[in-house]
Amino acid sequence: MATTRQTGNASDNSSTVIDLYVRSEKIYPREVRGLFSRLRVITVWVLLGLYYLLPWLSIDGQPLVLFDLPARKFYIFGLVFWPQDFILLTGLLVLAALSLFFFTALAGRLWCGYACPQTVWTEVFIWLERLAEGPASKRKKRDRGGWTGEKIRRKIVKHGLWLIFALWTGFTFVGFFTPITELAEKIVQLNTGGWETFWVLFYSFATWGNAGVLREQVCKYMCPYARFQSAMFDDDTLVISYDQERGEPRGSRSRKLAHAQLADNQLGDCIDCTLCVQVCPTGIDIREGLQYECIACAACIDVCDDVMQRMQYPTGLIRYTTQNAMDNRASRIIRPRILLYAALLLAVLTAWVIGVSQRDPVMLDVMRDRNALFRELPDGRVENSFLLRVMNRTGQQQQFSITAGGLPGLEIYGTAELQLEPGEIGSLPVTLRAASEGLKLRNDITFTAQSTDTPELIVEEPSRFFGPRRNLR
Amino acid sequence: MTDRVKPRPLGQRLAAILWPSFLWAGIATMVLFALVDPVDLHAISFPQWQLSRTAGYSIGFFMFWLVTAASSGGTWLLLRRRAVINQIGTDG
Repeated sequence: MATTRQTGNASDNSSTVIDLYVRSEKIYPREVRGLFSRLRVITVWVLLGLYYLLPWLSIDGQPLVLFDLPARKFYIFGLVFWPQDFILLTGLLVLAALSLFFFTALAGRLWCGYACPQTVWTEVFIWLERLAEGPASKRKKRDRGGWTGEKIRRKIVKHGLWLIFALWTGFTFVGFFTPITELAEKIVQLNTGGWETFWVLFYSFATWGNAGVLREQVCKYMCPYARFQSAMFDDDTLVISYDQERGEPRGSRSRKLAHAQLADNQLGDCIDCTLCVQVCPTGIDIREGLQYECIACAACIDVCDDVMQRMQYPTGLIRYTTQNAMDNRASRIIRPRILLYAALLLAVLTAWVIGVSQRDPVMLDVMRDRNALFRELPDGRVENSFLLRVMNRTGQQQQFSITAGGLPGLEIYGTAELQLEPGEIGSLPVTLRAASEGLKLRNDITFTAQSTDTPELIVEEPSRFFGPRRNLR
Repeated sequence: MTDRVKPRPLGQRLAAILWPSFLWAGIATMVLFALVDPVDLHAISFPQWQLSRTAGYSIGFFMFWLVTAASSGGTWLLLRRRAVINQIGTDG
């Protein structure tokens, strides 16, 4: 909203300052109890429980979830992903995005209200704040007042609690990328690496800033999803709405006359208690209609239902409904948009599952020695050097034997055996020798890695063997 | 009568530049290092320095952030209103 005001500067009294922004005021969302806030408490416990526990869990010595960046391996619920599986990880992200679209079209901003880390951590930070500073009304009053010993004490306690929680969050975050037990040991011994320390502190600071200080401003000004979520909406999407027809004309009334005035059609059901505004974490008035700031947390539904019950009016003045239902038209759950998102979701999911199950159990990478194309030996033969990388994706230890073919008399000089643990990637420098006669400048050859324990485990990889230039003549 | 435009607060300006560039730097880092091992990059760039993989990822991320933030900063510079540019001493 643009506001205009005159400057108080006497020498420049003809100019106007155009203020293109309104300073955001601190919001003190009032505590709320009800069905939807109970639901959110449950999701907070489940999601944060998963977050803080998952890095510590492992099955058969393999971490349950670990994005092991130092080793370039991702463990996700028993599956192991290597950089070669990048396409599968991309698929996972596409799946996540499509699910978000699907659920947004179906039921609006469920993500924002219940599952978004911003909501979940803000919820916890507000609990801690309430623990240290008391309910919203008291906090507001105290913040307006001057600094007293009690205020300083309560603020120190609050920031202390926030700091501990934020540091634990930052530590857990880094624990998703580097084995958390090792990290914990290093922290206890004050022996963490520079970057680990940096990222723990960085994520702690981000948690403290986003959930403690910025809160709803992240949703209003920083969140990309908030900006495009309306594209998934239609008139059949579940949204939180105030029933204007039933509520207006709003107005306060005495309890005795509550029903009499209604019967006279003097007043609607809205008693204008403004509780729906007071509980709103983003500080909007839902009675003004659907706004992009609304994160669909349903706090206003909970508090309004409570008021309606106390007034002995029917609940649901503010409720989950659709635009069509509001306009007295039929709502459809199954509609082209939903079917399209569902079909896409199903297709990508199927492709992903097939992709994961069809992964080769063995992988072979061949890199040529960068320094020399070839070497000529005194006996007239030609030598090429390669670096082979073999990956054992099976669950058992495997012994691989390497062979090379495609040229007459081609042989491996040196070791051609490699033993690999489950999930291990091993490198083997290999030198190939071939007779100079009949050798072209470039010769197609094939490397084969075969497990001696399980002969079905076999993989081939083409490469090139270079000969001297004179062989062209 | 001359219109004077009050500049946006510094915090808002910084956030609008640093935040989207942070997001895209993160995405770019993921894509790059999914395809390239920082150890390989290290070998062909500054092998004389002692750098771990974690350091490689971090440096990569910050280099991306520097570039994306510079781009966001350029956009901000070009979007400044003429009234703001004509005002000497303000920088909104």
